[in-house]
Amino acid sequence: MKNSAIEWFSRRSTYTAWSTESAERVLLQSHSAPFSPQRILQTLIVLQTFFGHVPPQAQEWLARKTGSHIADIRSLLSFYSFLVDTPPPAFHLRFSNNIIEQHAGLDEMYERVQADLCGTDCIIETTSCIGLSDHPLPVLVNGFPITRLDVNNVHDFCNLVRSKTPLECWPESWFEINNIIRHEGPLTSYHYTPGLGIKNIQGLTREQIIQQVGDAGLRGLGGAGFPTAFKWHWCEQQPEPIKYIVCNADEGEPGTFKDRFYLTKQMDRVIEGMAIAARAVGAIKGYIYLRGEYLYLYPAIQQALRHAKQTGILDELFEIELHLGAGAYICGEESALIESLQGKRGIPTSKPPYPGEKGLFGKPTVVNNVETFASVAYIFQAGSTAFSAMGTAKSKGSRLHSVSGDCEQPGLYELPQGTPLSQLLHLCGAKATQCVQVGGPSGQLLFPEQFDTTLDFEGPGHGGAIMVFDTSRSVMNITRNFSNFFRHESCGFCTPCRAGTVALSHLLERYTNLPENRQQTSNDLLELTELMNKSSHCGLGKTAGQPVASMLKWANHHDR
Amino acid sequence: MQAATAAGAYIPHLCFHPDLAPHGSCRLCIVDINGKTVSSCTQPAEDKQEVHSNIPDMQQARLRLIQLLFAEGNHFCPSCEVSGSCQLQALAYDLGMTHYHYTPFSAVRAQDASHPELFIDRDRCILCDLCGRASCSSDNKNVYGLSGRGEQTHLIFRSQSGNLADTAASVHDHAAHICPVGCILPKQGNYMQTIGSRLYDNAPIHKVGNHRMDEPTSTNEGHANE
Repeated sequence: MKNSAIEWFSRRSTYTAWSTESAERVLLQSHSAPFSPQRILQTLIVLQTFFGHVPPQAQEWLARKTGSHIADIRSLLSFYSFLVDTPPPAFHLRFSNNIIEQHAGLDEMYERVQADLCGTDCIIETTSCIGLSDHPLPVLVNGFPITRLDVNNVHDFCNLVRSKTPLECWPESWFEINNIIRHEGPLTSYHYTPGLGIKNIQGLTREQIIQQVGDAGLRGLGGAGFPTAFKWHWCEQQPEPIKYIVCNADEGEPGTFKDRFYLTKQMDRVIEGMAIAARAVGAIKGYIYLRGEYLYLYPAIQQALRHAKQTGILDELFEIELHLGAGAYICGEESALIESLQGKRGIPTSKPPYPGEKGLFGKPTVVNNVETFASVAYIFQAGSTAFSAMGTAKSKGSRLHSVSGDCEQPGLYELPQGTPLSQLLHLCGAKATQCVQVGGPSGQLLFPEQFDTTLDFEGPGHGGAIMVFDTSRSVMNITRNFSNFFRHESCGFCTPCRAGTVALSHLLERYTNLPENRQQTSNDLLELTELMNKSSHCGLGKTAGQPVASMLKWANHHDR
Repeated sequence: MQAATAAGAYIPHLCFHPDLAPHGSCRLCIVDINGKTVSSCTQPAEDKQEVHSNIPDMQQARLRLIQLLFAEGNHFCPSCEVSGSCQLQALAYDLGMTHYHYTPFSAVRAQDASHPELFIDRDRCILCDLCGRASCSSDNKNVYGLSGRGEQTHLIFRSQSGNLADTAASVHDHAAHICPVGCILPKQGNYMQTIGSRLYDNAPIHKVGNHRMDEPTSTNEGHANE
């Protein structure tokens, strides 16, 4: 991508008026084949970023250029929250509405801003967690995050919006993101030599490379915890000559922001990990799927890719393309991510076939999380024994935890697998802790008697998100927030998730409002969460009832 | 699913059709294989596989799924033309549904009466995409599709205006005769089936199978439920 294209993804608040000439120019600068039907989602995102919306005439034009049907373009817009067809206001504010932000005063701030900006040319709404729970209150302004909004500067903030001051002229400090590691470990502090991992696999067979990953005991760090070597091996075994490596940088699980660290600070290692994976399975091309909320990281990642080409980590045998998401949590699910990479709505596909056999464009594909690839780079630089020496017998290695909520030092903590939750709570200065959500909303809510639980692949939730709640918080509010999140992010494909998430919020309302019926409602809720867990098509639906199930367990315990 | 059908066992379903690629969205055909619950329409059959379908757990889950579908759409059986021949209704009877269980969502869904031969009542749509798949693979037209996300998911017609009239849809399409409920209806020859002669008037769906009155030949036979 040329420099000019990178500029459009840099912070800006002025949009160009729609014209086919400028659209054509912009798109041709953004990619060599912007009108191939498979790139249609990326093309829409470029148009959205450049023109601030995708007007109906742009959709029709794009339909003609790509040979797609207008209805399919409209249905992409209806699926991805960040694509809009109405003319942009001067400012589009999206407040992150995770429970952490709610506890930090989101509702009051939201009302204040809404009242202050009444009649102003702006849209104010909320959006699912934007990966900044360690910086409450974060808000996306025209897609770029402000991390320093508080009662002291909200007045200035509103004035800048009202006066339509271009985003480029806003105080730089408001956009600062702190990626400090509160507790370092080998993964975050080792001496990285660019290209050393690639050099170390020279002369090794594919089996030997995969063997080393297996020896290290590396498992997926995105949440599912699937053994990485097994994934690679399966893909490697496929006779198909064309294979792909996909880096899942769609860090959407509320309360998770550890990938943000790697994408900001260690992108070179992630790229090297991908390049090693490519050699291990024989892949010709890689894709990074970056969530739309991390748009601000786009220029730096492009820069890192260019740099990796210069240093020889990437070459003509393996190149990487950066794709953007557009506000759909479900695209973190690997098969939905693959659909999205192909320019479709992010609906998870049926498994089998698994991506390792039939993934991107129908070819064998390895999909790994950002942190997993960063760990691969570590393994081939420091050695697989260095990795496997950390952690426990069943959960090897070390990982980053995103800690947010009621503690003195929210942020990133690297700890060996198997560290007790209580130790992490001590490290982050959590006081009077009532409960902790481990692994994000799809993980589990743990209470003090469970704080000796170890954080590893045998424990609950493997996504590395720790949200701490003290005794002042309402478990019911936490549950409601998570349930609303799943309802909003359900892709709508299967009955139990699409209708179940709605029924769940109806039942929760009844649970709160009709205490006399609580036992019956509680039974109905529990049955529904089990139904969703058992019968849903993908992981989202299977775990969407989890927060409610945790809450009921807690409530029953308390009633006793 | 097909292996079970061939072996004479009926597995309840709505979004499956033997002539079309499986979808796996309605989830009614869930079965237990080695303690794992999977949708039987998308699960490849294997040798010596032990499959449990007609067990109380599964039937209860299916009942709840049917009740979710009833709550989600706006289904008023007494005034619906396909009442008595509707697969959703027939499965509800078969699974012993006596009440809604879940609060109706009361969603507002647009109708489409633009087409001269077909009438669309989205209130009854269960988002199974049978019409979409039939339109693609049987009719080669690609008229119907699903759009939106989550609870906003809805049936669309692939035309510039979004109206069915502006598509190539015809009443003679396979897609026009595949809807398991009363969402896609012909405008001519309505209310022809008298009570007593409707598809599921005399035998339950697990005996009759997932048919339509206008689709007599199908490999999708129902069988005695063992």
